[in-house]
Amino acid sequence: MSNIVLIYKAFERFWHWMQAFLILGMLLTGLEIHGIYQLFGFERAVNLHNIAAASWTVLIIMMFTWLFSTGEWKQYVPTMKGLIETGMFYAYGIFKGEKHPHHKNEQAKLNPMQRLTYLGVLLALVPAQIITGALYVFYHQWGMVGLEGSIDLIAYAHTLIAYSFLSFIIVHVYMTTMGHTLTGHIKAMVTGYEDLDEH
Amino acid sequence: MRRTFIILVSVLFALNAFASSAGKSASKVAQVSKGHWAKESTADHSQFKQLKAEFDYAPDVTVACLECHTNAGEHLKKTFHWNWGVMVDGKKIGKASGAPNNFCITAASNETMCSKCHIGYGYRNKDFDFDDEENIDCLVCHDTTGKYIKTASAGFPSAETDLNEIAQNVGLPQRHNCLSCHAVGGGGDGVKWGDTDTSLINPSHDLDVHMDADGLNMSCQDCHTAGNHQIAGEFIGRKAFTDYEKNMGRRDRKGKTVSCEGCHGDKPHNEWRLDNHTDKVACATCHVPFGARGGVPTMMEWDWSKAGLNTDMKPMAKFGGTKYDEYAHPIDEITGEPDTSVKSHTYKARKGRFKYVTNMIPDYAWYKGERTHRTFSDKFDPSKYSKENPLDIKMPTGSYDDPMAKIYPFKMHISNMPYDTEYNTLTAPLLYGKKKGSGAFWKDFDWDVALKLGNEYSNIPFSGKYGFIWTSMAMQIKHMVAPKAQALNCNDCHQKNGRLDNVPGFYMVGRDSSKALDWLGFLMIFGSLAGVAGHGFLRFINKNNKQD
Repeated sequence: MSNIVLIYKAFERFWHWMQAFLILGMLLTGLEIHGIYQLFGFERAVNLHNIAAASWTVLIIMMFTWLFSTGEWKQYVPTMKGLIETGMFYAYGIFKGEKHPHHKNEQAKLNPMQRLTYLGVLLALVPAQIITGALYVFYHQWGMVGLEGSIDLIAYAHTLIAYSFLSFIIVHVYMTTMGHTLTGHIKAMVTGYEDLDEH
Repeated sequence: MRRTFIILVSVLFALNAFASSAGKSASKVAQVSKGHWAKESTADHSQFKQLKAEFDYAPDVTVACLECHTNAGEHLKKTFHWNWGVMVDGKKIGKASGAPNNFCITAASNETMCSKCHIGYGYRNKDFDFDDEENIDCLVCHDTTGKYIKTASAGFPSAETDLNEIAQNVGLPQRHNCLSCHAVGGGGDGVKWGDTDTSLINPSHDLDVHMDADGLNMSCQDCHTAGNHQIAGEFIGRKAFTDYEKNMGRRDRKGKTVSCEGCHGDKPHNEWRLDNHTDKVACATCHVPFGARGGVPTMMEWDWSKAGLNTDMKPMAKFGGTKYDEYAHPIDEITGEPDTSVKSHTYKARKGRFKYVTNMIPDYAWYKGERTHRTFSDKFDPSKYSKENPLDIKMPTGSYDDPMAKIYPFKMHISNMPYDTEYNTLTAPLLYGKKKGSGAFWKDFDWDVALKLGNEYSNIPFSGKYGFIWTSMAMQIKHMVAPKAQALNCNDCHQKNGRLDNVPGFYMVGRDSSKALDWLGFLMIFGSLAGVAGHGFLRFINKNNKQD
């Protein structure tokens, strides 16, 4: 028996992969700008980083517009229901071969832990990174909007959030292997379709 | 999805177009063509009967000049070129006021020698009359033949000089006039300044984009504008190239500041990110990537304490003998290897041990046009200073928080100089003397006598006990502006151990980071990796547990 449904819509998939590409690009160039290694050379790294950042900002605005116009934002409303069970599953049940306690469907495609995590990423990390990045780029224009202060705290915040993104991506990518098959989740994010009964 | 993509792409293009147009502004440099700067006089001085007299005494030429140029004397007497001194913070600063530098230490008592670079005649001791206009040397600046040469004879030209020829060939100062003194400060070509030597008399475009003999061919005074003989850019009185009046045009600058911004404006790049730098970074910092770029070595270190040896490496004062001299290739700081195209002194019995370089990598410091000025009466604690941390004689002041200060390039010249170990002050030797037994160090090589006589002459208290102390003096680098392709790149500074590694007071991306924060990031990232690896491993060994 199978129940194949379109769980990730075209825009959602585009947004997801574009964002993945841009964030990885910004990490690659950003860590070079931070002085960890040399790859593109400082000038090119900065140019690429800024182009990716501007693109990402546009993408994020489109994404929020989409979430609100389609009502998909409801997917991210946090819930306590099933949160502990989901945590227990990842910490313990999965080793016993238990089934995932969350039953995915088009109206609730995120489990309670995902809701919390993604809500945090979208409402905290993403805006904070865009704002600190913009303050960084436009440091010399602060005076025009009456801002003053030194750049170091902004730089530290931007760096810390970048490290947080990298940590998030490591765990996020690992967790894609926890579907019915190792690559099931990734396939779903590519094609949009997932067999919910197999889950 | 395709539509979304098209929208995204067009928004990005729009953003890029906005960003690049926002940075565009018309270049403020006047468009000058080749030959623009050449000037023709309305007077042919060879026609003047006053200049056809038989001159056998240089001040007579001055008298002839002043017959027509009636106000020139008054103008000249107000200049630093003439006075060799100016009041700064209540202290009289300059060679004539006995201020020390860390090359030949002091002009006082050594005037006969030093005044070969004074625009006067007869400046041989304290009695020189700064009011007598006939003492003014017009020719050293206005000779166009290149044959007028002053020697160590109290500012008089050499005896062979044909004063008539010189007097009938006067004109606006040319590069060789200025450089006949300004290139040879400190005792030789290129010694003192890291950016002013005789290579600028006929420079290539690569060496100096402005003075390029086949290009713009600008003269010194195209930047160092002169009005009433006041030459702009005199830095000891703190009016040099740090620009306090950025919007003042070149025409209005006569005798005032010289700055790159005066012609180029302070947003000259047509690229907003580069223009963002100009509030804190001086033009020369990027556009004069190396000092001593013209093949003439410049001196970085001078150790007076080693002076006075004969060819047997014994003190001349005691054993006499022949003065020891030694030459070697200077280090080319681009390659780090000896520069085999040129040789320079590494030892001179009269002066001590030297270190010279070509293509000097400058030091960088905050600077607002003001240097500290140490005098012979300023006391210091010698135990605080060393070769690595030398005593400041003239060092730049300013900081990130000072809106007038920018990061400028400098040659930091260090020198091991005599000081009074009892009074803890710098001390002034008599160096120049005409003959043996005069007590001058360059004749008798005896510090005890030379310091006693020199300090007596300058009324500097001297205990008779002396030692040597390392001192530093900052020389601004601003000439020899390179073609823009040779300007510094982003990562010359935006990296750890880059050019600006030692410039304090601000966070610079690429150079600075918080150790604590980077450790936290390391723990987060490797914690995540370890976590998923452990979790994956547990899943792997439990993979046969299946519940239906």
